[in-house]
Amino acid sequence: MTRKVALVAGGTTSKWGVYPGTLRDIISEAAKACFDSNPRIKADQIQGFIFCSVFPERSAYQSHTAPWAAECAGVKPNRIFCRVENMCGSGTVGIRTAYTAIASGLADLVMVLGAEKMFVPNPQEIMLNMLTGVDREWEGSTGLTAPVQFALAAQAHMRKYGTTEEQLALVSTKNHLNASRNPYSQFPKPCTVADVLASKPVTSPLKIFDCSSITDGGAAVILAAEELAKELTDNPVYILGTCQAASGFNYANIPDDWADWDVLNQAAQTAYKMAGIKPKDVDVAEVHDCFSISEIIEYEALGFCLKGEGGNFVASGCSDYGGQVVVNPRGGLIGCGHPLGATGVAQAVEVFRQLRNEAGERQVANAKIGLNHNLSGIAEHHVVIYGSKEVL
Amino acid sequence: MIREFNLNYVYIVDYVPQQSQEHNKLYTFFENLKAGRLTTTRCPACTRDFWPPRTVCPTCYSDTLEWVDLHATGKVRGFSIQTSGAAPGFTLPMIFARIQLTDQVGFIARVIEVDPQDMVVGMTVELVVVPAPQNRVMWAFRPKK
Repeated sequence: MTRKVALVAGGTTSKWGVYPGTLRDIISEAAKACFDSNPRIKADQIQGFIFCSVFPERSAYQSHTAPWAAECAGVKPNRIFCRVENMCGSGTVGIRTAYTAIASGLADLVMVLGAEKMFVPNPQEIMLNMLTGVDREWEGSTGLTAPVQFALAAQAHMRKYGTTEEQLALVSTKNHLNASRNPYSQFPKPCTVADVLASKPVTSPLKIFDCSSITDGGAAVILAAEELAKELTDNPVYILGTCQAASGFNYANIPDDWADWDVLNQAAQTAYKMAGIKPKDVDVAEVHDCFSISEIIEYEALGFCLKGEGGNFVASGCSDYGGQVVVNPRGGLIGCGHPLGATGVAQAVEVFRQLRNEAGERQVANAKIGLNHNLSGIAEHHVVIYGSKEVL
Repeated sequence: MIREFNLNYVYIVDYVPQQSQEHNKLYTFFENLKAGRLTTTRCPACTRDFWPPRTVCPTCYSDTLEWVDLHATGKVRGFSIQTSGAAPGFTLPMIFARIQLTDQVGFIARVIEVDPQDMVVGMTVELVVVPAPQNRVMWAFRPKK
């Protein structure tokens, strides 16, 4: 019998963007923000430490990072510690790693800390580092990077379903507006559809406002076994269900239709079944809008709407405040920036705050069930469903 | 003091694959490419062609795969014109396309020697062998002449 697991603390570094310090400083600040969120938890209680970071070897010239980051965070794990690297989904994979450790009884209290220092003094290195996230020998070596892969998915969705560039832009305007209410977001300025359409073209049909950014940032959460969680907080946020799925890596080998992300649908359905809920039960969702098209296809694959209806879903306000499910209230990756290993952890921090009614002017009314979706490519998805203590 | 030092070659910023027999079991791919042939490996037992080429079949785990020629022309299934954010060594604009070469093999590749305005879904493209640093080669495509 597995044990129930809950979030009991969470925090992020104070301002994402170009960080005025080293990766070490980001880690220390994220750990402090996390402990500051729950003064009942002392660092010497932490038994496990999962560090989520994609390329510290390249951007901070540091490997052997789990114990190094634990020292930066001020914790001495005595049950489990490791570094998780799963490209853009690393943070959520780290949370799943902590979940398995606690559910199995291996540890009772585990910190998951995601941190990424993407800006380096020579900007050319940033693009060289990003080439490591695709199949470097057989894709990256041709100059191919992630934005092109998602642009091709956008083209496929537009051809198959008639999705428009204006509908893509509506994801961006929603998330930029939400980001304006989030103190740590990299891009807190609202924008209009016309602004998005007129912004600098990146790779057709995506414009710069359709894209998440290069970002430095950090985030941390603490997970606890149920009994301990109740001692550590009056409002634990429980993991109700979770799943992961991948199908192929090189884009030659992923499922053929890039307009429908069936691999995400598989992962989501398994997570919903484990949680005992339906898509319509989700009040608030933090989903991976690395590009505007991603959020539209995710509405469909997560079951919030039918295949092909994603563009109408955002256009009719269904993913905004007052709609069917509030998607990306913190501003998403488009508004907050995307510090790879930190993103999934920061998504969990937002769900933690939302389900505890602590999200301030971003608060989604009566949020009880939250969903966190993180991806590492069109065919690689990570899903965690959370519930407040009322729904456990 | 710590003195400045000079590295003539830094492997971790060299994104072009190693292509010699000494460093890559798949060196035959690059030898064939230098000769103008786009090839990949096939598992004779499974009658499956792979992309990228492999040294072991992922279905039956045979390690006796054979080299086969892929069609030197393919159909464009979709494309994107990239105008920002190129990796060092590449010049914008760049065009990337989903190209289907055979029933079994299709991938994303760069299309060159074409005006972006002339790109259309369904067009036929052909292999171009492009030079890379240190006497290496890479593959790209251009509209079929």
